[in-house]
Amino acid sequence: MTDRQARGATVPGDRPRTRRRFRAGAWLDGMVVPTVAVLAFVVAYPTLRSIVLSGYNDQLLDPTHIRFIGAANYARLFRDSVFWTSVTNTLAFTAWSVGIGFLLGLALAVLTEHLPPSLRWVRGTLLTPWAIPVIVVAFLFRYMLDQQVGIITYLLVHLHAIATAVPWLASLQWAMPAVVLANVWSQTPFYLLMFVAALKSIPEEIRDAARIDGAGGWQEFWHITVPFLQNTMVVSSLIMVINNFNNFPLIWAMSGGGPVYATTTLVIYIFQLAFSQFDIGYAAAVGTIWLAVLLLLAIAYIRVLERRPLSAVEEP
Amino acid sequence: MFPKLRARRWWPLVLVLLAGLLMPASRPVSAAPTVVLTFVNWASAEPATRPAFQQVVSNFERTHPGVEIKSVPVSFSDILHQLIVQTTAGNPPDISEIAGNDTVALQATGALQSLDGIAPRAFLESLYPSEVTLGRFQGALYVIPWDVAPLGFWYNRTLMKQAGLNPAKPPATISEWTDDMRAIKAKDPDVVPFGLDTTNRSFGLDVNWAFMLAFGAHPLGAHGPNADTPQMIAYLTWVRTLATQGYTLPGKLLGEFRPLAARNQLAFAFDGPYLRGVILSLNTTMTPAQLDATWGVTVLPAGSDGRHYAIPTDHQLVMFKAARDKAAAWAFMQYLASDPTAIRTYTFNSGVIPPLKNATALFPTDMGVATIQGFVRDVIPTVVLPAWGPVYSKAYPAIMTGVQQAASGSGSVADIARQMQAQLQAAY
Repeated sequence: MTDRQARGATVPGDRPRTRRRFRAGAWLDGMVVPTVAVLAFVVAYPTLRSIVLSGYNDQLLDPTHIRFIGAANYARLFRDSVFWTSVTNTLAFTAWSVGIGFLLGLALAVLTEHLPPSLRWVRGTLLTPWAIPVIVVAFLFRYMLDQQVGIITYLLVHLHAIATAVPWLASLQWAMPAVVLANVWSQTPFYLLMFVAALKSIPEEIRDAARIDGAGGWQEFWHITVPFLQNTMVVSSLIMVINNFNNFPLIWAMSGGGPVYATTTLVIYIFQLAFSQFDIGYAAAVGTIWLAVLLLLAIAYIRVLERRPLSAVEEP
Repeated sequence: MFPKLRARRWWPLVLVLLAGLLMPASRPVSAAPTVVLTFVNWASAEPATRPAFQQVVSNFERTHPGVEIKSVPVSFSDILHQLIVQTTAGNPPDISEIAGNDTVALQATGALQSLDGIAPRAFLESLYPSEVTLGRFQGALYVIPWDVAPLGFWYNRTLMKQAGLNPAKPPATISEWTDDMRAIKAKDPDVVPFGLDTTNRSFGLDVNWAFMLAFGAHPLGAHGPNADTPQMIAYLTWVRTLATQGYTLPGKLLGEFRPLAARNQLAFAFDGPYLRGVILSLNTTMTPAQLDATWGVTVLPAGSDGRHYAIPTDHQLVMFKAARDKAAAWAFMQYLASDPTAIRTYTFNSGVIPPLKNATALFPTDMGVATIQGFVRDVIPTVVLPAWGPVYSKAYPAIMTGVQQAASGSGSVADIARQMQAQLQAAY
């Protein structure tokens, strides 16, 4: 390198190459413009429009009285007991679904880790629910839990686990556990898949060393498996927290948010406000709050992913 | 060599594109331009009515060359929000099937075409006057009836007889009826004595409205909410009895009880005349004569005031302002409501009653069916209108969640009535 080059001065011979690099870079940058335009149209515009709508009294059944009401819809949120019930239900539905699905997925991944080749089909079978559309799962469980003809009710009655048939999805007490049960059945294979992949990344030498040092099964799990799976655990849990905050079809098809508001989550409540009561302005206000919560979760997810990429294997 | 190979590789694609471009041009040119009418309906969404409806559409298209009906099937529960979304998006259909409070709600959006000046006077005079009244809003006609379908009281003679009850004497009061349900449940625990719709939807309240009236409860008063009353508490207590004693299955749609009716596992139903068509379509081994021997139709048992109540769930037809060819749209609406072939093909096959005043004279055999006679003779005179309107649309969640709480919870019904009242304040 010459002195001029080292000082950043342009060397005549370099000029064409720099320009070409610049031109190629600008052209490549321009390639994202269509994507940004499409995203602006399908994401940014509806989001902004929804935020604007949340400042209006906009009732679709009364289009002659649409007017700007400022933050009144947000003030209404504080007095709306159904909104707070739906917040509590969203948290409960998400926490139970993620918690149980996570533990089951982890347990199944560890239990099926060393299956002999002749039993590998077991893992494949366990993954099957992941391939079934959520709406099918919802109707499947709705029929299995039916008070009159449901197989689950039938078995529980005949095994004397319950005295009489229970209307699971029409019961204030049982509707949420019933919906969570279906959701866990549907989502556990996701955790299984993630953990099986992560388990394969644990170096066998580390396990061997631990065994030589006299570590038992539980110690190996606690001191080797869990630390190696930490990244996967955090990332997969966050993905499923976001996923369950948005879970509409399963709950809607199974219980419609009822009975009363026992299974009404935020996303169900927004739908009811917008498309059953046609209170678009207030639905937009609830939607904006929901969006803010989801954004926070998404930011947390991205931050975690930046710090703990799934591919990174940190030795404990 | 290389460019030649590439050209060869591309020419089949070019041929396909050319063929695609030429396809529209190669279509046969019809003598008259085709008018396509979009018709949103649940008749084509339900298996029981779909074949007859498709037949009616084919017949209409054959007799009206140049008009094509594009049927859009939407379930009964989703039709209002589908239409509101379409209207708001500037893409309404030409015509739609609609019923109950949904009609009132849709009319309030201002999207409907007034039929004054479109509907001929002779046609309107051929209809039951009460049906024409149902279609008027602020003096203008927006809606015509497709069929007459109030909710009436269906009783299963076979199950009544099995329980030791007199099948020729359906219960006349709520109290007698509750006793009958007890006897039926005691005789066969697998039988569901009654199918009460407790779903949180506008139609759910329509169904419950008649019972509330029978108990003297009027939750939506003219001057404000009126739910925290001894009458409403009595009604909610009765609902709780039905649920806790196993006389009904809580959380079910009215339609979910119909398969039980078809399997002879339902003793009483509060359903429209269309239940006949549904039972016959679900139970293909049952003949119409067997159905008439099994099921009878009469008025709803009377409550504290000794009166009987029925609720209209008539299927109606509306035209949208945006309809491009209003004459063609009207021709189809009138055809559905009054054409003898359409009535024989669809209306009677669906078990419902045509809206024509002289239907009995025009169709003596079909109108002579026992269940239809039960509706015409007994049920129709007891029809009352629920408090349909904007308040009803906002209030039904408060009332129906109260009904659900009574059916599924264990808290005091007096507290439920109080909560209902508090929530209804917001709707006014």
